Amino acid sequence: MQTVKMVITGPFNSGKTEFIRSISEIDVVSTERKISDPTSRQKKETTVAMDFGRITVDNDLVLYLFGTPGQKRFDFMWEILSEGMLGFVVLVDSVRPETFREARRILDVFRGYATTPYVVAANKQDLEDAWPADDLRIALKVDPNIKLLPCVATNKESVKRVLLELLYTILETASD
Amino acid sequence: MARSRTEQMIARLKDLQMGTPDIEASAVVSVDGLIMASALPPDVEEDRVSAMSAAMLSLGERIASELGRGVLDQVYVRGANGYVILASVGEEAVLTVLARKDAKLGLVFLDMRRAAEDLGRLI
Repeated sequence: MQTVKMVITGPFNSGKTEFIRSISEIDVVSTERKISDPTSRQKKETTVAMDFGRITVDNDLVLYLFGTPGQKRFDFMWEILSEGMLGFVVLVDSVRPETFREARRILDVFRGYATTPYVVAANKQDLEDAWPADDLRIALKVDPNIKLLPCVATNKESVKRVLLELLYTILETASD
Repeated sequence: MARSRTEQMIARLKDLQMGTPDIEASAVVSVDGLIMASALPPDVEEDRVSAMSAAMLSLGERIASELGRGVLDQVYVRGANGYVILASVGEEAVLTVLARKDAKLGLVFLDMRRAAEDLGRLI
């Protein structure tokens, strides 16, 4: 059996924990803690170490999903979690353009760790104010040959599609 | 004049270090990794230590419960040059302590527990 390690990253509140929870077949190992800083109270809890989930694609293939914390002060975890990854997903909060620059920065940091394939997922496409994926590509200056996929992290099918696209990219790159 | 809570916390940390010379430095950090009060050496990067303390404690709690060891009491890291010991302060915070390599750990643990109780009341 083959195992594929994927890292799910992106800015604070972009939906990384939710993304993994939607699809994991095991109870997700989460490290969410109450947010103490009142200025960043867009939600109650935030990831401080990692999320871990697993999904069996078929008899021969299992995906291990490692979610990172989003806040910069936890960036020491990014490097730890990126070890041995075969690909990564950058989640973008499509309704908060003020986080796009941070998303781009995180993308560059992860590309610096390893030259693995990656995809960008434009999350929260179910919300009214969401930027369309094509506009996000321009805003984030995502390379034309990189997949930028619309996504709703609370929807299992949508998450599955993003992961399969990354998996295909990994397999294509491996056979090149 | 009444001292601020941070000042009281720092005073309690200094007390801890005075009473137990094996303890070289200490800090109180929120569970989401922000510094609340510290008595750390100037060359230590507070923000990084805070974030790492929160991450470590939270992983410690998860592994203790995952492997059926119950509620986490403390996380204990031993390096060639000494110890890092983390203990929770109520539900909201973490006490991080750096101790010398020849530290009398029984005493360190006892004093940490007492300090954590006092600090818990200040938060």
